[in-house]
Amino acid sequence: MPSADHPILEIIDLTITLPIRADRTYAVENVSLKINRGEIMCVVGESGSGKSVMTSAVLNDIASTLTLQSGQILFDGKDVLKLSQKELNKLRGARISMIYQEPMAALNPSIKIGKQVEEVFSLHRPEISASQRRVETIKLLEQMKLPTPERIYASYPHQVSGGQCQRIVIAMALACKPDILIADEPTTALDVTTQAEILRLIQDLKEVYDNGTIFITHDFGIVADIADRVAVMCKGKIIEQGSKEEILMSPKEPYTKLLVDAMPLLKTTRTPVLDRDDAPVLEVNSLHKIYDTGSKEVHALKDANFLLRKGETLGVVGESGSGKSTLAKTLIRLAEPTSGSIMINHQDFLALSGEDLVKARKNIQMIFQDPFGSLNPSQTVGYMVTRGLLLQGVPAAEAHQRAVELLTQVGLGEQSLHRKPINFSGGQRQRIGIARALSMGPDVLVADESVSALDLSVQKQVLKLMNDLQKSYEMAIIFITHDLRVAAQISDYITVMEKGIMVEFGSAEQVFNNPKHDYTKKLLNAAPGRNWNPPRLDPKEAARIVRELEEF
Amino acid sequence: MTNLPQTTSTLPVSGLKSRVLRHKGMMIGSTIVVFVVLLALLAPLIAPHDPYQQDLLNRLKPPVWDPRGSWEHIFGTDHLGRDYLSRLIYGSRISLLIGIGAALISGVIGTFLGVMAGYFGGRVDMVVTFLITVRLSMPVVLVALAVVAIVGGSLQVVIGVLGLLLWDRFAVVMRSSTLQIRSMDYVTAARAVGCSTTRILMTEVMPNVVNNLIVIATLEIAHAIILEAALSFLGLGVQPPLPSWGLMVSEGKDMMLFEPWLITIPGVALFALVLSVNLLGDGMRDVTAPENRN
Repeated sequence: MPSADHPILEIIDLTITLPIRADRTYAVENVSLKINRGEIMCVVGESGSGKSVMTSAVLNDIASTLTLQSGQILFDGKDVLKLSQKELNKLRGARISMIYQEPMAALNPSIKIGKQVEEVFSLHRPEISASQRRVETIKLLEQMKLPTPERIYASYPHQVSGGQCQRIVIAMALACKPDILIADEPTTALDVTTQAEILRLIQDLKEVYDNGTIFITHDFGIVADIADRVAVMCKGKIIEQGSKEEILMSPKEPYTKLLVDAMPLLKTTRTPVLDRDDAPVLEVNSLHKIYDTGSKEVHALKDANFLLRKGETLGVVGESGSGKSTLAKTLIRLAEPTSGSIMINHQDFLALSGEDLVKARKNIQMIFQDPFGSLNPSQTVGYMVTRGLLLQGVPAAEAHQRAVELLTQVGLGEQSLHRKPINFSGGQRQRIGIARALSMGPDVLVADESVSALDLSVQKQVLKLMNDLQKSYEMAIIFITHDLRVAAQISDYITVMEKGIMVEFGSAEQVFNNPKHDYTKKLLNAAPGRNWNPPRLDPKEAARIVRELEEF
Repeated sequence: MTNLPQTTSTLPVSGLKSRVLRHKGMMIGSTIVVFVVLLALLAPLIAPHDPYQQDLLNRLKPPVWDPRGSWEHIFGTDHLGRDYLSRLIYGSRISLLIGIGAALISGVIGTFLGVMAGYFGGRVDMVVTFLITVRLSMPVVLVALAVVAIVGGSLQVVIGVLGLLLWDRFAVVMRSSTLQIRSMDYVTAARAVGCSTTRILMTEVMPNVVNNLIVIATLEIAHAIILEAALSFLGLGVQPPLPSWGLMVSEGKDMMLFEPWLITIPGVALFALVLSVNLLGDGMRDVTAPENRN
């Protein structure tokens, strides 16, 4: 019986070099890691920390731009890095297999699912006869708790949902009862409720197959749910590893402390004043949006009603396809609503056109999700931030002055005015996006998944920035997110959307502690790490660590 | 700023420069192109003789590497005794003029149609896609031949006809790049600020498709040069006595057996120019691609 002293996989002193012009020398530096049977090892780290490169080395499949400098990966007494192509092919998919982030992309769209799973059998398990394969495949699909295995066997990947696709990918990975399962962010592309199901499945299967699992993730909530042991990676090094309890409850390394501290709590932070009698800045009445796709009508948004006053935030929470982005688009009139009304400062926003509309646009602005796609790579930051002001007829000198002020406020200096987006990191770009949206002094700000693409530590800073800016500018914010934890950090009110309908609406506290609708309860239950209460650092202590790490 | 990753220290421009210098094909291509452009610009200064000056006593003189040749006519003379080197040098003007002229006209047409189709979609896209299909189903050489046969051949006509026939690739590429950029959030942001459509097209869309535009333009220049040579060879392109390289091949074809240089010299020139323009285009695509990915 293998024990902790006889790990199934052992990575010893692995070092992989990056190409010469990269931002650091090593993709992975002196990494040592042991994986035992029946154990889920979570590798956590922010983007670019080298976690994916490390796992690609386990399959001896590192990208051609990277060079292996030193190290061993012992599996079954042999060094994987020294195996021939033929031996590797026997290993890959059979004894070590992999689940990918994008389930749709991992399946061949033009081959039926059944055939794709069978292919694994024919490659690695010759003892199963051709006639037996179908039976085995269906049995496997059943085991993955897929609802109608027979139907799915005969379907193409595009005919099943994303969550089902990921189950099929897992089925393929487990078809040969591998000793090691590598899961590279397998739930990042999925909705929260689907994610919870997949995580449960991976845990259950571990019991059945007694394999070792390497689970790569950036989400500490997932770690809290499924990990046995945790390794924290930063800039290519494993800086800390230990049991889940050690890492999550009492991290030792300053960097880990900071990461855990950046994990937002599943607790509301704001309490709205319920009996305000000042005029609302935004009033939305029975807003509908129907997309006509020719053959059928899709009700993307049904009967949305709400009002917001100065300085208040409405968190809009929902899974993909719930209509939350449609709400954002109709609010700023990038898509015309089918019916309903939007009043901004008592002005009917939907009735405006031409010059009046251009003028009124300054009242409502948007911050986008993708920090890379939301800034024009060909224009300077100064152009983007001043553009709106110039369009409103503000003199150039004043616009420039205002841009400098804003960029300083969002934490970027005056020198960023003349630079183009390529010179900024994701978090900095999002700050530019915020400066651009705020430049016109809007009364309403729509933030569509604005922090979802950012690493936790950066996310925390951007959320703090938005909170601070809201205090000084007093704009109302519609904050759209799929993440309840993030919504809790900034929302006064929260609405939960499902299939275009606002199924729940209430103060943040009420929605979190006393949800009325079943769907809200389901979402709350599916939030990863809901039973984990991450320890908090004293803000002064956190700032000290940040400074320390920066000097280092 | 606290805890944010360092910004890249190398500016994109310097990265571009070093990529250009390391790209062999692009270096070779641009060297030859620059050389030919200089030849064309400085033709009156460089050419040893008048390219139109006939000298019937000195007909069909072989080039200098032939035992019968002389340094007087380095590349020999043609069937009318005109200095072949001078005709070759002046011919580069015609080739470049037609290449650039045709690419310019077709570039304007194709970019306009492609950007409109990509940005507005719907009906506009349907019409443009239909036009592209119609254009693609016309055999370029045959149509050009027919048109030139009807209106008569001249430099302007050839440029015009080729310009009107070669816009399809511009339109296809511009359409798909614009389609991609239209859905980017920065275009949405510009709309949300209240920018007019013209302004969005000029400041948000165009600067980001111009890379592709340049690449297609170089490839179409090469295409046009080849087509002009073909038309002139068939006698329906540039008319004599203009020194077009295609025409020179055509005029030499009857004497191919005994005076092969009449064909090989302009042939090699054509080959080298087209190859180098293509190399330059390919190189530009390779070199600018990394910027696009960011």
